[in-house]
Amino acid sequence: MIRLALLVFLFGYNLILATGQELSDTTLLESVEVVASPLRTSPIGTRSEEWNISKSQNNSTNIAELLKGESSAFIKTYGSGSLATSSIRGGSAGHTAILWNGFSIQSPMLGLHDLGLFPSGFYDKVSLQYGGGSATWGNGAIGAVLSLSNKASFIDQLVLSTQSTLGSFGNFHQQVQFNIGNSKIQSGTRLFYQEGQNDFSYRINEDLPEKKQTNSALLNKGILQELYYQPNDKNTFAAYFWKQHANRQIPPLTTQTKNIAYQKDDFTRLALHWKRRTNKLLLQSRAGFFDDYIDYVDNQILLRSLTHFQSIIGEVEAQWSLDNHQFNLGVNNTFTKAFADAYASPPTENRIAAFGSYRFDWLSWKTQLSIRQEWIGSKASPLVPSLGIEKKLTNFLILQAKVSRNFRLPTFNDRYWQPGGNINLQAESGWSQEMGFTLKHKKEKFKASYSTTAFNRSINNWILWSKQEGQSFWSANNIAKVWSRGIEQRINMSTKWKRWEFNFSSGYDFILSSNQISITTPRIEAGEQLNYVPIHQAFINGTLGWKKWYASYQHSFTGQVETSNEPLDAYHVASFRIQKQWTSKHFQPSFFVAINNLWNANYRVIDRRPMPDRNFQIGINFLIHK
Amino acid sequence: MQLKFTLILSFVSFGLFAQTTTNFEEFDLNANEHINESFDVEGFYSGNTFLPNNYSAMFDSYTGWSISTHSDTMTPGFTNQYSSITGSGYESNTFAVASAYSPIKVGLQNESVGEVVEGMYITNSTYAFLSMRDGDSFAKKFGGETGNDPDFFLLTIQKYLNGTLGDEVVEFYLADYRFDDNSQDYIVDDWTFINTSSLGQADSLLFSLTSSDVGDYGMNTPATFCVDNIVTFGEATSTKTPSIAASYSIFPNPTSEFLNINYEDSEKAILQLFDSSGKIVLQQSIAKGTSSFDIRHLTSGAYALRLKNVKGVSSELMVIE
Repeated sequence: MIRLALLVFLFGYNLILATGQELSDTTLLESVEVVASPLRTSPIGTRSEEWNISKSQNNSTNIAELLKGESSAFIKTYGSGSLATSSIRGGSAGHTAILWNGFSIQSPMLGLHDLGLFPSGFYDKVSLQYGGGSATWGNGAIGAVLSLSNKASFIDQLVLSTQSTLGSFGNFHQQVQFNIGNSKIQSGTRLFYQEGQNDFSYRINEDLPEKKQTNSALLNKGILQELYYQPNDKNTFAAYFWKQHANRQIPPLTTQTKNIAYQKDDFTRLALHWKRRTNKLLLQSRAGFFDDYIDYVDNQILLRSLTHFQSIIGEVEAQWSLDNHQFNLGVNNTFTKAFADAYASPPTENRIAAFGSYRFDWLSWKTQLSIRQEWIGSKASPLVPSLGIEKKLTNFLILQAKVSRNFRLPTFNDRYWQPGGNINLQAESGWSQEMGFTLKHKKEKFKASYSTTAFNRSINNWILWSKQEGQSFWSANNIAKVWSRGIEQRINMSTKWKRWEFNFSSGYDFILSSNQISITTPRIEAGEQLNYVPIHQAFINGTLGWKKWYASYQHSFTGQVETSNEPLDAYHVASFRIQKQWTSKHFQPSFFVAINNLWNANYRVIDRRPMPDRNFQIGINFLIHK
Repeated sequence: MQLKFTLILSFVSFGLFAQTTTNFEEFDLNANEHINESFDVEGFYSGNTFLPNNYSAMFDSYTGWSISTHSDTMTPGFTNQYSSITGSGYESNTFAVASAYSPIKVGLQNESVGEVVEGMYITNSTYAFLSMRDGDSFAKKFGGETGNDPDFFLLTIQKYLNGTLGDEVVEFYLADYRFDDNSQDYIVDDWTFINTSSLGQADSLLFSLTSSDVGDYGMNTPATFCVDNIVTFGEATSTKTPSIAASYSIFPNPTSEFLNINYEDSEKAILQLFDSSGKIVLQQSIAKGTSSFDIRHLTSGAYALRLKNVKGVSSELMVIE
């Protein structure tokens, strides 16, 4: 009954809006990004969501959990800290570009990055730009761009913050951040440690005895060191060193007696940034070196797969202003070498990209034209332009629209894996269009907004591994054409009254993403919804605060998804959290208690992978400063 | 290590007719070896049968049949795809392993063409057996999550005669979990004789696998099974693979640095060197003339050298000092 009431609530709010209630707020972001030109980080016509990770209030362990709880990104995961990938706007995991301080960090071998590896305390800001962003970010920015960024505050500070969380199933998570600096130099050190057994109990059905998950332990630890130097108002230098190690067991499927496989992830990332800012000109130069290993071992079937890549990235860009005109130009060079037993010899790739943007603001209109061209060796990728428009119709209504062409290059595995790699693959590419509006209202301490965005996208040359006529093995081919379209709606509200605070956000996504061409192996009918792309997704999050006590409720609904076997049922999952903060001059402690899977739903996100039943977390955060 | 050629040809008296039992022992494999590359002729001739094999050298993979003596009944997964779940052939060491993601044939030869095939012994491969019993990352454990799924793994045998596929069918469940009483569910783990005489006269037999575990990628159950002792009509005119020992010489033997071979046949040949565990440590294609191979990276010990061309095969002992 509760679920039914919630369902009505989730889908019913549109009716309230239709009656003409005036709601408002802005989901548009002001440009405060330091890691790249604002023309790239906040492009016109793009719907964005962002999260500032507070040192004292951060409770999510990793970015997969953050997105799962706070956005409508569909996260494929099977428990805390597990391997996790995303599907946004009907794309595959490789269709979300992932940036760290402006660098693309997806594996060039897999074309994606495991979101379970990103400790959420390692970043100051996380943002999600929905829709195609290839014209500014290039390869893979088809469904969305997930941007993880660090930034410095050049203030006199000495801050130590810690977050410690104990959870069910042997989960322990510790994060420490230490910042010291003044108006010239800043240092930030972040340490992260996570371990867990994840030996939760689950039931296949009520007639069968409870089973305990096995081979599901994880260890994940890392360090991120930031150094910033600002010799004067115009110049800023930054250096980053990020090293992480994870060792995760791979639990058996429900249709598997046991599994003893595990995967080790190890990576080292180094980056150097230089930024020069004058009144009219912003110059940025950065270099990065990434060294990344994935070691998958299954001793049961005598399989070991060790893959490794190294990338060196250099990028220079400039943004300048002339009255109400803004320009951005830049070049990027990325060199990658990859190693895997299944490659005949370690392949290398050098990619050069040139990109530019022009933004023109006139009265209540904002327009931005962007374009990017990449060359992979001597081969040109598709030329990708985008045009975004924003019109402020009234003080409470903003319209926005965007047309863009986007692409994804075949991965190293698509090209070089033996057997089946195909060096003649074309890039996946296609056009997407989106438009939407935002209603916003602000009156004293009451803020509200409502937005709707509709999108349409067609991607040609979609790469699938398939069995071709006369072939005895699977190979990568440009055989699919995928049409994705949908509507996304968001409501945000916040208000304060005396010592009470109330925040509410809600969203509903309706997404169709279908392959337009019939394929025999794998068997896909024309017009059939892609696997693991829910047609319906919705969430509501509410927080009630009183005298720094906060009670939060998160509820999400995921519709039925197709898999390569049977479809997975729709499910509701909720969590409840109580948090208390204290504030004093030098010391800000807080604690929280959380109940995850509050209604003890028996659900699956991935076929044949059970999810934890109701479970608990308790955490203490400290923030001590000078 | 002494390599032996053994030819076991059974003439079984069955009524008035002579019969030949193909048991693959003449391939002269050591323990835990396999041949998945038939080299030029796209199949293996044995007894009165021809077992097609399509080998991809680039990927070291095959479809059709391979010949094997692998006996590992414990290791799951494709790395152990050449073992039978019985740990041997039928009352012998050698057997044939089928890779049948699409239907595969066994052709009849010599006097058996157009005659009845009496039958053969069949069992599961270790790969398929353990996958069905325990599940793997791709295929389900039979019975499914609840143990109640009515799963099955079915081998269907049909025949071709004069190019036409016959209507007759012989079915053999390599696993059957369709019983209401789960205790009756089974996966075949011994050699079972399958009588195919009801198919009638045949030029070739067609083997197809179907499983209840099917996804978008086709059948999830590993499409493999093992065959031994195929009983065909009539005497095999030539069941022994001819020796090509006269066509080459190797020197020096023993050796420590280089292996030289003087090969005098115009047909190209393949040279393989096996260590004492049966692992191939050197495999090269050679042409007429003298070829030299650097073997300094190999440890001292006894090795088996095999040379094979379309005309036949020959083996001998090599000692590396």
